[in-house]
Amino acid sequence: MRLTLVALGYFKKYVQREIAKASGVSVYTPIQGWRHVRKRDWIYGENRPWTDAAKEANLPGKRLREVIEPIPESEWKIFKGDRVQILKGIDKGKQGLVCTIIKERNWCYVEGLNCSYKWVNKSASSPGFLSKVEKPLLVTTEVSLLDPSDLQPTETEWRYDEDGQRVRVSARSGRVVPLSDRALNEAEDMVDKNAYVEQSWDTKEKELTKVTFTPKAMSFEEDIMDSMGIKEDRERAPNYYY
Amino acid sequence: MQAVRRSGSYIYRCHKRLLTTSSAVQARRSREPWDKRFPVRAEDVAPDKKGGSKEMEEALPEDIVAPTGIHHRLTGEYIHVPEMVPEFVVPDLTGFELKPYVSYRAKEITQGPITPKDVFNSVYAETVEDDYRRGTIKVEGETIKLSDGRVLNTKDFVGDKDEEVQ
Repeated sequence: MRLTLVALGYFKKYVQREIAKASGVSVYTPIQGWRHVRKRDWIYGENRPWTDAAKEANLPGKRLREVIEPIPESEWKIFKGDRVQILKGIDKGKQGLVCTIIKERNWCYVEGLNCSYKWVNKSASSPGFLSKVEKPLLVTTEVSLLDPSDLQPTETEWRYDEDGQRVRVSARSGRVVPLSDRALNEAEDMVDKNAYVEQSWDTKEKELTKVTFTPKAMSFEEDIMDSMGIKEDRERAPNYYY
Repeated sequence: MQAVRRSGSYIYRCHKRLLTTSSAVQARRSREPWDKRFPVRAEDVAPDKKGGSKEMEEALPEDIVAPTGIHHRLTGEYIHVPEMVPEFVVPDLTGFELKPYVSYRAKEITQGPITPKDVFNSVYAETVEDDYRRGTIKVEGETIKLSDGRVLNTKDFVGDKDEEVQ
């Protein structure tokens, strides 16, 4: 039996539901049913959509001032854990690992680089502590993937290798830029699969892969009757409908 | 056709079809005697409603959800009756290893729908193979002779175009 899209997209549905709740009002009228009114376009930001901060940034009247260049899903090249070089800003020329990606704004955050510093909890007696927060970088212009052979910035392309796998290839040297473990082992709800501790409510892979169903040449009702020993000799009356 | 004036809009009855010139969306409570788009409830035929009576109200169930007890006729106390509580018949789950959630570590599985071919392979293929090996089924060119005397011709049966004839 095919795993349905409903089961697989639970996280996507959760996110869409949270966004819908915070960017409009659901109104029920008889016959018409539920309708979403006073809708607003969701403004994606540094906070994830289900957080209170994100919902506050999406109150009625708030608008996005900048223009976002649309990048199709198939052309997205920067993933979590990739080594990149920053091309613009205070940390220009430095290399680091990507820790967070926000596709809707074409943003990526590099660990420990391109940060803003702020003194927090200042008082008369103590200077407080200096908080260091990463600022986003545009994936299109401010950041570049590196060629694995010489660790220099390079343009990359999506191509197919001999095994038919879709890989990123450096335009300069032709070397494959592999995806990091962090990107490959990430589930749709941002859970690290390798670090996950299996719980009592989880079905393990061993049980999941067992095939226990044998198709039978009878309908579901007949199968139940057969297994329970119910015998039905009566024949159904003829049913005519035109 | 008969015209019936109702709250500013004309409603004409023609051939059992109810047309209204006003907005079709009206509150349930303002419809008289009851909203015909929904089934009749006990409160729709209460004595205070138009066309309602105590007998009609008592004939209909009080609640959508069935009660699980009775009111004592004299004392008025509500006596819970365990036999009225619905009992769910579920299969025995001893030794059942599947759990409500799937572990993140488990690999993703995709299976196509079960085709009639899969059903045939599961139910009949083995017996057909055994019969053929034993010689009960004889294949001569295009004819297949079965043990019960039937003779089948491969031309009468449509198969997959991609299948190779072995």
